[in-house]
Amino acid sequence: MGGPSMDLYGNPLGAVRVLFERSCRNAASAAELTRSDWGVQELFQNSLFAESGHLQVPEINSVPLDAIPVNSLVRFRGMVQDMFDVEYYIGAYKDQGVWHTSKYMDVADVPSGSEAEAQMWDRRVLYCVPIPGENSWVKESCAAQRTAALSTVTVSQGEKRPRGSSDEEAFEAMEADAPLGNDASDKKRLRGDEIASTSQGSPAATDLDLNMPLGSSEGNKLVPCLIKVYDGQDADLKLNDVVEVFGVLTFDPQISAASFHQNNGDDSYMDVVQSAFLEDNVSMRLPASKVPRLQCITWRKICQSDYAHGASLAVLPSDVAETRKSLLDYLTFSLGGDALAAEYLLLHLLSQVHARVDAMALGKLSLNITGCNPGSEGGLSPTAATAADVISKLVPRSHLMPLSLQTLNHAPVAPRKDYVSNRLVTGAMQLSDGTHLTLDETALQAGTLNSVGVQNLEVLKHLLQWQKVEYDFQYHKMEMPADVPVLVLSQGKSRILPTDVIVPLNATASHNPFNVTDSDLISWRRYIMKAREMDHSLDESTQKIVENDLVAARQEDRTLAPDVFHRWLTMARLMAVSYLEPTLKLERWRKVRDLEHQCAARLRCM
Amino acid sequence: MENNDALDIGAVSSPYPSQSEGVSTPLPQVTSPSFDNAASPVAGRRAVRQTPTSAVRRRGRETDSARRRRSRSRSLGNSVYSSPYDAGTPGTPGTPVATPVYATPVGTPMGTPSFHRGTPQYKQRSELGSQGKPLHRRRRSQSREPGHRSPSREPSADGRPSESAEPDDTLGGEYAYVWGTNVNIPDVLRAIRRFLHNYRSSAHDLNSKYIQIIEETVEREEDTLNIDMSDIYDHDPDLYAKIVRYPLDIIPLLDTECQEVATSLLPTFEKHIEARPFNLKASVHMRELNPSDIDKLVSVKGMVIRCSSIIPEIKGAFFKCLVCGHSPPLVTVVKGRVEEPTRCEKPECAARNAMSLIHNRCTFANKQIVRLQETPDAIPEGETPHTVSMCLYNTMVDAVKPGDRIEVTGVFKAMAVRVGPNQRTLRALYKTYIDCVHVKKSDRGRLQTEDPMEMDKENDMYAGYHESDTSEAANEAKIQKLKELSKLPDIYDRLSRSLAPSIWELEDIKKGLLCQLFGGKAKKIPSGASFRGDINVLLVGDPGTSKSQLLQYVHKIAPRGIYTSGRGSSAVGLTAYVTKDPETRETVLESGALVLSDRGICCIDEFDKMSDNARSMLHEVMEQQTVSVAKAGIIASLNARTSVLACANPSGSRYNARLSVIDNIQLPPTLLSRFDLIYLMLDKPDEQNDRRLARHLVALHYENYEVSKQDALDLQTLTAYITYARQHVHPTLSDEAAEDLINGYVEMRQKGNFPGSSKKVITATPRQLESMIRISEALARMRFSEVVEKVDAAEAVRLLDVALQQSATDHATGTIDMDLITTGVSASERIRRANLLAALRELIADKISPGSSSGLKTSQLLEDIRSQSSVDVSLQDIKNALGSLQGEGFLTVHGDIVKRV
Repeated sequence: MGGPSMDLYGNPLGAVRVLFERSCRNAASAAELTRSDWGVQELFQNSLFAESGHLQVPEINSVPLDAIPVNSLVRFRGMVQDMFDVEYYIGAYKDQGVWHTSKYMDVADVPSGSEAEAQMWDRRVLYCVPIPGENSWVKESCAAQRTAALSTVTVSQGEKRPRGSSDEEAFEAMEADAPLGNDASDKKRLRGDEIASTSQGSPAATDLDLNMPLGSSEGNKLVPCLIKVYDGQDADLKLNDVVEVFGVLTFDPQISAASFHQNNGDDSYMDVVQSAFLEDNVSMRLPASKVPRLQCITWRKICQSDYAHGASLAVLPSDVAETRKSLLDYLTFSLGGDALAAEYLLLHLLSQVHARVDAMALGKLSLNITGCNPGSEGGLSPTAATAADVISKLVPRSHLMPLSLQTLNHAPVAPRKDYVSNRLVTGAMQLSDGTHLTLDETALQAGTLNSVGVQNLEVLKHLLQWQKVEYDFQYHKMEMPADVPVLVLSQGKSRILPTDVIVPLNATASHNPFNVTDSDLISWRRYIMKAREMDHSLDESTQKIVENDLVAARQEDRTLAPDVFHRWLTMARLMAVSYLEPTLKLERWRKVRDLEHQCAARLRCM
Repeated sequence: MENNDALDIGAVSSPYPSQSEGVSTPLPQVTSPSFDNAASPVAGRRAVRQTPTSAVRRRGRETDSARRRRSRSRSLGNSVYSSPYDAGTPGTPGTPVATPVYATPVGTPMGTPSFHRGTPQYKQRSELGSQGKPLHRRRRSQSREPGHRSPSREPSADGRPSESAEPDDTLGGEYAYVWGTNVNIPDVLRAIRRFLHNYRSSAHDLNSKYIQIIEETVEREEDTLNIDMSDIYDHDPDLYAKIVRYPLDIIPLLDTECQEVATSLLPTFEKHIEARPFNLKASVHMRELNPSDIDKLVSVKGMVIRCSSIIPEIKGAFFKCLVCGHSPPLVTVVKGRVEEPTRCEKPECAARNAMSLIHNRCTFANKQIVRLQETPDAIPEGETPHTVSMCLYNTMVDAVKPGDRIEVTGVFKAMAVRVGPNQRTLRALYKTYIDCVHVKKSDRGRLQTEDPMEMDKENDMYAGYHESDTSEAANEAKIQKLKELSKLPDIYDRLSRSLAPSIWELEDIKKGLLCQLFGGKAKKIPSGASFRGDINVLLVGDPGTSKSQLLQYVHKIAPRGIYTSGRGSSAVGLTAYVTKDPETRETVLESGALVLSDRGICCIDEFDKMSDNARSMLHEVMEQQTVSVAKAGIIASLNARTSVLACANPSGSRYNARLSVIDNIQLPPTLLSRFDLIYLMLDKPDEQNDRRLARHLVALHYENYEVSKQDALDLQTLTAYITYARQHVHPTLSDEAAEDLINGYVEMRQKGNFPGSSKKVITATPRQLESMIRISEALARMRFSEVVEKVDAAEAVRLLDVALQQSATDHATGTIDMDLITTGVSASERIRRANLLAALRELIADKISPGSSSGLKTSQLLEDIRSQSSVDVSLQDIKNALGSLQGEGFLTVHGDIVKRV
């Protein structure tokens, strides 16, 4: 072909091979190849991030799976739902005196004779699901960005891509029409067949649990991925992390076929014995059409600012007050004209756990808005529906959960380990940090909770109190720290779920129509992201005043417990942050006290 | 494991495709010196020829008769070979064949002599013989291309030294090597022999430790021998390294040598001794296993999460000609496959395809696949636990159950994954597992060993093992450090500061909880009565006094503990209940929270919300420390030696100062008396306290909270300190301390005897005296002191006193004078107040004569005191002090005016 020298995105394995061969030439022994990545990461990272080339990479779940050629570079945004065991594979082998590698491949056809020379390496297998509770605006903006990026690229597609890598000469030497290219089309056809065969309603495939924490609510099929991570890159990856993975999409028809057969369950003695060993290899059992395999080349954590998409987060101070005001107005409008509740809601939206001391999680501010009318016929409360809608427009990830008997009794919300399938069975409370949760308690009616329901309530309570979720590992429980702001909407004060703040809703009847433009939404989102990233401190003099204030308040009212002080201090921090101020100003502190007075007054009225 | 007459049957359990032939373990053909004249070299040669395999290990040293007997006894099944803990095996004892699946009708004549004649003995241990693929082991240049190895396995095919251990070779065959290495087999054998014969556990031991153990083993007619690898290391580090590096090759040599010793001790000894090395110097974390560990001896700790059913592994296949009835000798398994004879070997018959497999005369071995998971403490935060599969063989089968914490020693292996059962293609994937050679149950990480009698003694497997996972020296250093800590004069305060540093003040309560964590000494008197050493604590207090947080904290550092909430706990949930196992339909006894926290602390939140029924279950637990169940045909008494830490709100959810203590707590006195310490956590107005609280909270929220925990021990040290003290310190009462305790008790008892008050206050009962003893013991433990001294006794009396606010209680009415509560006041604060009180008394005595009608204004007093004192005194302080003085009847206060009585 002689065309594009090195198609990093179309044929990443080719690039890997070139790099491997080069380091083979330099390496003295096979062992030297083991723990180095031959510069693969560096090359891809340069290309992907330095020139925001990552936007050109097709993303699983926004591009249909069968539109992506096998063995090309893809992107996947997801949450680490489960971590499987380490997988051992032949990483490199010698065939006719030449070293080959099967790194970043599912399987390799190792010629039988060469095995003695084979090098055994290990890789970690992670199971990632599409980000639970991700709101549609995030996906849309991602998709929009990609099309924008692609349109600029397609113009220059025929020509050489602007990459400017020093490795270019090396790639030019490589033949682009490697057998892999041909393979790809072959395999793709096969894959199509396989999809067809599995979708013909084989029971094994349908009841296969894909372990999506909140289910695939949106009807459209989002696929989870099996990610294979190399070279110990997984060291700082944790459960429930939200990551963006760049890797090679691989597909092996033979393995898929085998897993298909295995699912169909052949009860011969042979199988019983064999499955005793193979059963824990979950990756073998998940059909590749449902769960694509991704050989991770590089990954990064998705943080807040990624949703701002490059736009500068710098907001001018004058804008801050303006934005805050307009957002507050919007929240007020959504809560039926209750400005006080809106203030609390704003603070609540900005809250996050910023430190843990012993068992306590500092910085959380769970909110209970009381006085919400239940929905008709056991449906959602109108307030809950509006609130959840508003929140979903403002934060990247959110979820609304009606706290009805049915949902509570239905399935455990805390994840638990299933030792038969050796997987972590997910629950609705397996949420990534920063996912907002709205609980609609008005949906709860008199009735019996079964043992699952009781446990679920315990889990929710625990989450509210300590921001931790206990994962059930059958023989022991493991507490996973969480950071999930919870909003509880109830008719009366929630007696089941202990929240930090209780605000009775005082809706006024008159509604001024409120127009929300897209640009408003965008600026509010940016404002919230910025505020959540703020650092905060307290200077000596203010500290003194705050202390005195607390003492005075306690002298006045003996019933003030440390809890209340905790709440005030958290609110003070959030209040300052909501004005994007790095230190606490006295007027913010006063405002917090004022809010609390108003709220207490309302509570007394009830 | 038993003597396996056959080669391992890999294929049944593990797919082993033909391509891999070339890389199967190259094993040395070792021949031990033939002390047994019956074993003919010819047989040995034939053996090799018959089975052109790489993995032949021949030990032709048995007589036919011995072999026959052994073989028969094996076919007689489980009961003969099962280990003591094998009782749970599904195979009924007495069933002739090892597994129920292949059950043989009882009485089938087994083991006809012809059966074995001329059969060479292949002995291969299942756990070592499975097809390990030593990919890591690079061959030296002298080795042939491994891919072509198997066809040319005829012993005389070439003169390669590494393969040429001819049967007639005695130890003098100096050129036998472990294949592909420079490890000389005769050298190793000699090293092992030296070790067995010369190793003595201590210098003045006359006999060698292992010769003695082998002697015992022979006497007991057992066939396993545990070898402590640390002994080997002490004796010969080089041998240790070789065993760890090449276990597949060297462990069989260990067997050989042990067997030789056994046979020399008892020539008729016919079993095959298996060496089980254990206690490696370093155990690997499961998540640190990596490809370089493959085919090495590793030691891994973990928790068993699943056990497969027992898998019978065919060892020898029995064929019978359907035409003439002739049976060839047992066909052994080669590489997991049985080579079915195509024609009858009897020349007269020679019928083709007439051989049929007779299942019930084949020999089988037991095998079990067990999945091990990391122990919870080894999992880094935010990750899921890793698991690893392992294979257990013969006597080790069913030695472990799900939930057990074990430490296994075994060979880490990788096995190629075959895609699909019938496909022979080898993909580049491997499945890893551990072939166990030794399993040890451990219960580390929890408080135990208070009673060494409870340790598993009947089990030879664990004999002679001392538990330590780090080296002695490191442990020694750690203990030394703890001991140094205990010498600090302020260790008591320091410990109490370290407990829940984020919770402000409440020092006396923390001290009480500390006593609970350390615990008293459980006593057993010869008559059989026993006294608990566990201290039960009840926290009663206003909402928002951080009771739950204290509970959470204690739960976190308690050696073993359950945290439950009284609301929603039922009586059975706390004690024990009987259920039907869904799988076996057997009735099983499930433990509740209290039983599960045996030897730990059971934290019960919202004690007052608990149903009366559930609460009444606690009576037995808290005094007798057992739980009795009589239900569904099960009558059992389970140990529940647990300390109870409960917290409750006062009956009106807030403490009512106008009611008596008893009325506020509202718990049955029978239950109350079982709590050693009852803390009233009352919130009282005090500006000083409020200020400290405010400062503490502000600091907490603004991330410079470290200020508040200077000199505190970190969590690990605290836990280690407590654990060490509980295990090693058993203080006894000194006479003076006993005297003090008695006096304290008498005094307390007298207070309770105030006329007409018995119903209003918590009166002291003999239980309180016991409590005092326990608390003083716990206090002594904190200092690592073997003797309870006077200070301990005094502090114990004080703690009990403070807990119930005795000093502040008006014994006539049973109410508490809120101004006098001292909970949460630090020692320095108490001293300050006492000083202030004294100063004030003096001042008033100076200024006002008794009975005079003139009074003093409090503001005046404040100014006077301030002029005298160097420290800041507030009006509130003065008021508090005046309150106490008024209580003494020293003066009266009317509004602002103070008058002397």
